Formats: sequence, structure tokens, C-alpha cells
Amino acid sequence: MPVCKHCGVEIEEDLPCCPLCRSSIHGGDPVGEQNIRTPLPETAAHQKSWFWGLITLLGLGGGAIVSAVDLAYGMSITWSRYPLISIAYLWLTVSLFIYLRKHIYSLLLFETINLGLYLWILNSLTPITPWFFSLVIPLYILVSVFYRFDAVHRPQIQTGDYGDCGDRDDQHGAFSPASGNDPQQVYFR
Amino acid sequence: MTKIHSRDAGNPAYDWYTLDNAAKIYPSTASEHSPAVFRLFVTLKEPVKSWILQQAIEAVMPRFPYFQVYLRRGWFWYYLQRHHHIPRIRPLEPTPVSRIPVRAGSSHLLHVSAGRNIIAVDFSHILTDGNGGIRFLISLIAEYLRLCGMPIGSHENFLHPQDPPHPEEYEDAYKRYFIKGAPGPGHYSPAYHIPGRPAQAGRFRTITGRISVDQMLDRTRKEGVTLTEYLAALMIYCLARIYQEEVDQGKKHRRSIIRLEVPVNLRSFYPSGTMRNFSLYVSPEIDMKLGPYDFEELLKHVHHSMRIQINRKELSRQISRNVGAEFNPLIRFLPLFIKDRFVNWIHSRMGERLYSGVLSNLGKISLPAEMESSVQSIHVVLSPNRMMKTSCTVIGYQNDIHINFCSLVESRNLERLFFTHLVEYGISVHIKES
Repeated sequence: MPVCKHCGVEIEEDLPCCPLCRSSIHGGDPVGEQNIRTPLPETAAHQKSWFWGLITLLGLGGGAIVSAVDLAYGMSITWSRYPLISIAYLWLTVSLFIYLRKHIYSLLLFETINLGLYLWILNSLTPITPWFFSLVIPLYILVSVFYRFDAVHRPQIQTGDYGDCGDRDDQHGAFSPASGNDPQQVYFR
Repeated sequence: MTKIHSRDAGNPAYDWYTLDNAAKIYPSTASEHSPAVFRLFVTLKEPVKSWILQQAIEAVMPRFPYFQVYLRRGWFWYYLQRHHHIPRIRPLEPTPVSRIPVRAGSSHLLHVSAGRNIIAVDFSHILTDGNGGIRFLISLIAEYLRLCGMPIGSHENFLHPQDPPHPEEYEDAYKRYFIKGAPGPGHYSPAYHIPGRPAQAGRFRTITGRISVDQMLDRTRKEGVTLTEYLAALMIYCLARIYQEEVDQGKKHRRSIIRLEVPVNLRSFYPSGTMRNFSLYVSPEIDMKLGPYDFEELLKHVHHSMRIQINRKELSRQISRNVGAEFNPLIRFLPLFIKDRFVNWIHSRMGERLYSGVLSNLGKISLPAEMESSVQSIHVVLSPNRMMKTSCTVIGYQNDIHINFCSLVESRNLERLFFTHLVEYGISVHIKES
């Protein structure tokens, strides 16, 4: 069993150099530490997080400016409540889209709640006859009926069964009778 | 199949399960750099017969219904949905651990691979900890050898496929031992991390050192410490030397604490037969601002620090904090997409950032004599994470201890210092790389 002259450890016979100091088994100096400085791949998650941060910053900045102008003008928050509520609504809409776009039903549900909440708050802030229950709710029901009708009559896209493990495993190169790769004839050597 | 949405322990028609308290963090935080996966593998004395191994999996999986699951998103929490398929064996790939995409569709959360004379099982930490994993692996190997024609008797370390699963095996034992109102642990400051950036997403390298149990225990007995205490002290010592080398080169560190995460199997303190996660950590640490430590001084420090932390009352502080957070109504009713971000943030601020490294000792694994004649060695590999970059795992079998370093960075300085220290103290080390 070869022994590294620098580290004093025994090394597997088939290894050309010591895994610890990188010096050759047949002599030679250790290779210096080489930290790989490869930049990290910019993953989708990073981009998503960066974009969400930007949107949040813009929203907070816009809200702060609007509030400051309103306060400077009248020493109270009056008209700025409308743009503030709208900014919050837009921020939540974009955030929901960023994080739930792959979960369409959850996205629809939360966007609906978000819009309803936004309109209800607008209605509460408006000093005229309430219009939320008389106008918004009937419109909601109407849109829901149209959506259901559209969903029922739209041609269904056939997708593979996610529960079918065999097919999925084939993609990773595992054995499956369906792939013609008969495991009964294979020895691992 | 009839869907029975019941989580009552012992219900044979389980269709879905909640995640245990420790597992709840992993779906939100798992990434290619920090996949939260560990591999347990055995090297047999004979080549693996793949078709018999597949039969063994099919026989064993129904005994472990809580492992035949995949991860699904709920509105407020992730949950584990029963999988209708038994995992199929995969050819062993030349990577230390498999990539288990936890958030992608209906992928199993454990992978069984085989190649030459190696049988490996990769577990997502969402499923279980090292203790549950080793019992599954040994049960699988026992069934495989039985199907190969070897008479295998019963043993405490493995579960027989014909026995029904005990209700306690399903339980979230953290909740059973949660004491409402108990104080949580103290706050930790961020710790030092070894230099080097992760080379490539999802790419790890491993170095394994094999040492003799007798030689190692002679050494620890002389020092009056346990093996885990000795190795933890050694790892802190090596991290401290890297820290000092950087200081000598003129680098200024903002963080001077070197703190290690040492998992503790809670089953030793809180009786439970759970097969799911039931472990927590102790955290020996030193502050480099107090000056450099010599090894003997550090060993005493780590020994006493771990003795103070490893007891039922001190560990219950962590259970109290973790389970208490889960029961917090604000957290419970937060929609999952917001919870994901929150958990990620908490994990990066209060989890990985607080530890310089992790050392996990699974202890000595004993097998029945008839199995020992077929099993050459047992190994464990724990995927590192983005912050700590290197993880160290230890497992003993027969007269060998295998110490595995799995790393994201190219530098081997930590491993070199660790193993050469053992050599300096007269312990023979045999090194293997993959």
C-alpha cells in the first residue's frame, strides 16, 4: 500500500496522487491550494429573488415619496391613501405571480382575494354610496361563471401521469421492463 | 385507491402524512448546493445481483410505508403523499450523493442505487435521520441476502418485512416531548466559515479516511473523552488552524467564533421508536479572539461543553423552540409561498450562518454474524451546504471507522489537517477519494 511522503497516510493503489496534498505517489511536491473561483451559476431562484427585491424596493420607495408629499402638503395622510393602496395591490399582484405562477389554481385564488380586498378597501375609502356589494360581487360571480364555462369547454391537454414512476425513472436511466432493459440479466461488476 | 385523510398513528390506510418538525425546514431551503441528502451504502463481498435487489426492495418497502412517499405542496404546509410505486434501483453514478429533487412532481424521496458490489440508499432528510436510514438500509440488505439464499435471523437493528409497522414508527416524536412554555436555547452569533466558493451547483467531492477502531479508542481512552468529542475537537482545531493561517496572511475576520454542529440521536434520551427525524444538535464552540488553542486544551473544552449540552433538559430547550414555532398561529396560517421565503430567511440567518461545520457520528453498526460474512464495509456521506461547505460523517463497522468529508470546495486543507493530525498521533489512516 503506497504511503504519501508528505501526509503519512496510506493511499489507494490506483490513485496517481495523494488526495490530501496532491503530491505524486512517486515523489514530487504538494500542489498548492487551489480554490475554484468559478462564479456561481445564476439560477432561476436567484433571478426571482432579485426581481422580487427590486419590486419591493420600488414599491417602498414610491409609497414613501407619495406619503412624504401628502404629509408635506397637509400634515396628514389624505389623498395618498389611494396610491398607497394601489401600490400595495400591485406589489402583492406581482409577488403572487412570481411565486405562484406554476400553481395556477392557487394563483387564481389568491389574485381573486387580492383584487377583492383592494376593491373593498377602495370602496371603504370612497365617501359615496357603497358599490362593493352591489357592483363588485355581481361582477365577480359573472366572471366566475364565464371562467367555469370556458374551462369546461376548452380542449383538455393530455399530460403524462405524474404518479407513473416507471416512466420517470427511465429518464434517470433506471431499469424498467417497459424500456426493454431487463434487469434480470444484469450483474453489476 | 380509497383516500383516507387520516394522520392517526397506526392507521394502515395512510394516504398522506405531515412532515415531522425537523423536516419542515428542508422543502423550503433545499437547493442544488444544499440538497439535505445523505447516502448510506454498504460494500458487499460479492457483486450485487440487481434483480434480487429489486425483489428485496419490493418486499421491504411495504414495511416502511412512511418512506414510500413524495412531497406535495399544501396551502399552508408541505405534506408527504403516499406513492403508489416502489422505487426502482438505479445504476450507481460516480457522484457521492444522488440529486433528489424534492419539489419536482412525484419523485421518491429515497433512491436505491447499485453498482459492482455496492448498494447505496440516498435519503432526503425530509424523510428521516441517520438512525432511521441505517435501520432501513440494514433491513434491505438482510432481505437481499435472505433472497440470495442466506439464512438471516432477527436482529434489533433491522425490521422484518412480514411484521406490520408499529404506530410509533410514524410519529413526530418532537411533538410528543414538547413542553409548552419551556425556555428556548440562547442566541448564537454568526460563525466563521472556511474560505472558497462552491465550485459548481450540485457537484461534491468526497475524501474518506479509514482508521482502526482499536487504535482510535486507545487514543480517546488515554484522553478520557468519547470518540465524538475527540473528532469534534479535532475538526474545530483544524478549522482554527485554517482561521489562523488566514490571519497570518493578513486577512481580517469579522467572525471569530468557530462552532460545530454535532447531531445527537434523541432516541437515547426520549424513548421513541420513530423512524422519522428525531435528532437535534449540540454546538461546541471556541472564540478565536481569545487567542490560539492547543489541541489538548481544546479537547478538554469540547469535552466539558458537550457534556453540559448533551442531556435531556438542555436538549428539550431546542424542542421547545422548534415545536413552539410550528404551533405559533401566525406561522401556521401564513400561506406556504410566504412561509417558504420566511423559512429560507430564518434558515440562512439562524441556521447555516451560525455553524462553521458539521460532524455527524452514526456510531458503531453491528450486524448478525451471518450478515457480517457478506458485508465488507458500511459508509455514510452527508451532502454539505452552501455556507458550511464541508460536512464530516463518521461510522464504525467491525474494526474500521470510516470518516468521510463531503465538500463543495476544491481546497482539501481541512481534510489534510484532520487526517495528518491523526497520523501524527500514531493512528494509521487509509485514504480513498471519489
